[in-house]
Amino acid sequence: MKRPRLPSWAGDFALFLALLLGSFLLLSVVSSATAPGIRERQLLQAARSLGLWLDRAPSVASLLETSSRDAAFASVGARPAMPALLSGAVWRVASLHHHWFLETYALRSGFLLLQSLAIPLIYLVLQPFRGRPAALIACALALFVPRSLHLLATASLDALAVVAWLLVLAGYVRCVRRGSLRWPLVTAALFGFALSISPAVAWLVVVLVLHTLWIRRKELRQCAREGMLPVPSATLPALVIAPITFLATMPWLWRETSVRGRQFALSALAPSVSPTSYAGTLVSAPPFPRSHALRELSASLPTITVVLAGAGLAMIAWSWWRARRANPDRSGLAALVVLCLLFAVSWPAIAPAALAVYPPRWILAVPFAAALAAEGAMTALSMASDLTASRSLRLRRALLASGLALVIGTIALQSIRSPLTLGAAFAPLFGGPSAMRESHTLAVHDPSMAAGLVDAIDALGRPSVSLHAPEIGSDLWDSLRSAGRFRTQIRVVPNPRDADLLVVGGPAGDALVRSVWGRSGTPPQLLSTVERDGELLLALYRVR
Amino acid sequence: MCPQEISPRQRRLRAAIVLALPLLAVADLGAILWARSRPSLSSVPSQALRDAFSASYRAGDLVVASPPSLATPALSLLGSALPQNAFTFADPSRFERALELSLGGPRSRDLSGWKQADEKRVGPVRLRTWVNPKPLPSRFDLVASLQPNDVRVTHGPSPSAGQPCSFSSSNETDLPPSSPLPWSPRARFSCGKDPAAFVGAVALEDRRGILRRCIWIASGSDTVRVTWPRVPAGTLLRTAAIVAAPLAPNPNAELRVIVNSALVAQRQIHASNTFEPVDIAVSALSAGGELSIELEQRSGALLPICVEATLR
Repeated sequence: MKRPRLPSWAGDFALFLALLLGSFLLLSVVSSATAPGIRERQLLQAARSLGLWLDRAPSVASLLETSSRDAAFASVGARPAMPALLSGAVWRVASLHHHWFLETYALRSGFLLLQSLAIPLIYLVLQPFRGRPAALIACALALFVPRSLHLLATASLDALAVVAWLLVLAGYVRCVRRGSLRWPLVTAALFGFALSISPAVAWLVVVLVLHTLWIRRKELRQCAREGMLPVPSATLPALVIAPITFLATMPWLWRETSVRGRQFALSALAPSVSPTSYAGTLVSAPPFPRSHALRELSASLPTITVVLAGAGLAMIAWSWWRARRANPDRSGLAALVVLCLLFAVSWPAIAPAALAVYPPRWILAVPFAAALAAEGAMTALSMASDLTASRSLRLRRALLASGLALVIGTIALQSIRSPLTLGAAFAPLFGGPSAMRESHTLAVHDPSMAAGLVDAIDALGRPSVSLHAPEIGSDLWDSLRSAGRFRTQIRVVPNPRDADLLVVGGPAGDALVRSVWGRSGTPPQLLSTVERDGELLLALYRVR
Repeated sequence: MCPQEISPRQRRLRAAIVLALPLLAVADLGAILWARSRPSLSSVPSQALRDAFSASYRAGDLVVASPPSLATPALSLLGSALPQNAFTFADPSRFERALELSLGGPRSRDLSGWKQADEKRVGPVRLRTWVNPKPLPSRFDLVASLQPNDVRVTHGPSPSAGQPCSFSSSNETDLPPSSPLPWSPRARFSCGKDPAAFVGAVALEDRRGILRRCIWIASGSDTVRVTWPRVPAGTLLRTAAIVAAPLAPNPNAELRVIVNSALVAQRQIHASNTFEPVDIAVSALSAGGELSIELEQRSGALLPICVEATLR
């Protein structure tokens, strides 16, 4: 008897939910073990402010009252409000009124929920063209990138930019494929919503226009003759629908809309530069190093993902060269993936100084590198299937699944083994953190790792200490203390000569320790360290 | 594509590619497990290490730590067990004995050619005692003798360099973030208004991570001269010099050694220099006399150079 089969969309929906739930659980576990990072403070404060606003409102109607809303949203300002609003709502219920969640986790929860959408969205983008296996492999390869997982598990504007891009792409690829009116309308609405998550989605328009020109390249001459320019089909509805969904999800813009709208646009289009060390020098102004995003991406991806992505890219190039691909949808998707990847890694090189983003958002390239790697993995699986001698389909499938499980298992182990030091997780076969440290190319630590030192500070048994930590923001200690990670009152001092304790990492930190040593005649006492793979990332010294 | 359509050569190639992928994953895993098994500073029993060190240490021993990237924190584990006058970060050739703290077992490059006399294990640290088979005793340490009564420091345009650099031993001056030192040492000769323009003893590391105490020489003018008017008799000057800001573009400097007013040697200093010692014959000092080290910068940017030197 033939078993009844679920419709295809139901299976995809179930997989989408399973991926969302799985990603959210994994991010929650990693997030619980990860201390607040240096750039999270403002976002978590915004979430708390919105949570208090929701709490103090006597009724739902009072939320529409202008002055209290404006006061609450002042901390969010021109930044996207949706994730902070979600986090604030969860924090109010789960941390303020009940003690279900730790405060840091509750304040991150809205961000985590949105950021866990990244993985199922990769599935939605790839599945219609490459089928379920390839889409699922891409999801696994995108999820198990240690340093990207670290960003996804914290409140991060960079991670939100990934989600915003993928949201719009999920609608756009359906517009390209199906040609009905429904998907351009949905895509337009998604664009407005994505803009309220991250203004970085505005740059995706450039990629989508380029992609539309590519897939309609055969019609270009005729279009030019008729004086028309091919644009994505969602463009026209986006002009009407996107502003509505955007305004609906940005309460800050409900008053003085034109003035604040301009402020939002200007802040989104202004350069965003955080002084960052690269190749041994602190870069804080143009010219920015052009290869930063590419180097950070290639050093951050597990070796197997880099190799598979290279194979995937080679396969796509080979297919184009030999013109063997009959299915235009697949080559269109491949072009979209390559364009997005190129845009993400080349933006620091091509952006004018007025629009520069530094350090570059290398994480934006991860889903597309994973999509290329999935292409490479599917090619390898197909080759392996041809080579398998057994005629038993089951045995063949079991062999292929074992090989795939080995590869995915390896990168999963790399990603989730040590959340405390995920910031240093560079590909081990490329030398790992020690190669990064010796070449002075990229920073090997994330300031949130300093959470690993706080027990040693408490163990000193002093109610308050002065501390000098040149590479760690002063707000980190307040965040850790308010999150209940330790008790000692920390007074951050700018001059190391006034400090009781030093927290340093890297060669510059060693030079500081030696200078303190030269001053006092005896070496400072090493109290605690944060290490990974035999490399010292952060060290806590007692100076006096 | 059916398997029959593939030639045997293609088949072998495809099999190699397919097998390489899981092997790469396994190698990645192996690299992770190997890295995890590397010893860590956090697992060192500090008190036991201090006790073992105090039992082995003799006055006049050189104290080194390996690997070089962990030298500073590893020596910091010793705390007050390391005497104030202990020799660290010095050229090993003049010492008869050395104590080495090795985390994980690698041997310090500084001690190649030495004979191991003893080894103790304290957790992941190996505390080794080494004996130098051919010590080359130092008659005069130029770095240690950088004191106002022993030395005269001048700077200025080449060739005269006649302006004196003033000695101070008050407060340190903070140096710019791009400097390899956070601040100047208290005891220094200031050469001009720029706080980074001074001559003083500091500890710096070269590109290989080798650390040495050396004389930081920087000036607002193109030439600095450091003169020791009364050095004891000696026949060999062992020197090493590095550019203190190795990432600077194309430094071009010349180091000259002058004995009793006669130029005896000159060396170009490049960004690629390391603390590799160079011996200079100074037979004119066989009865002692005046020794000068002169540094002339010829590139646009005046970069600090750090010089280590002992008279043998």
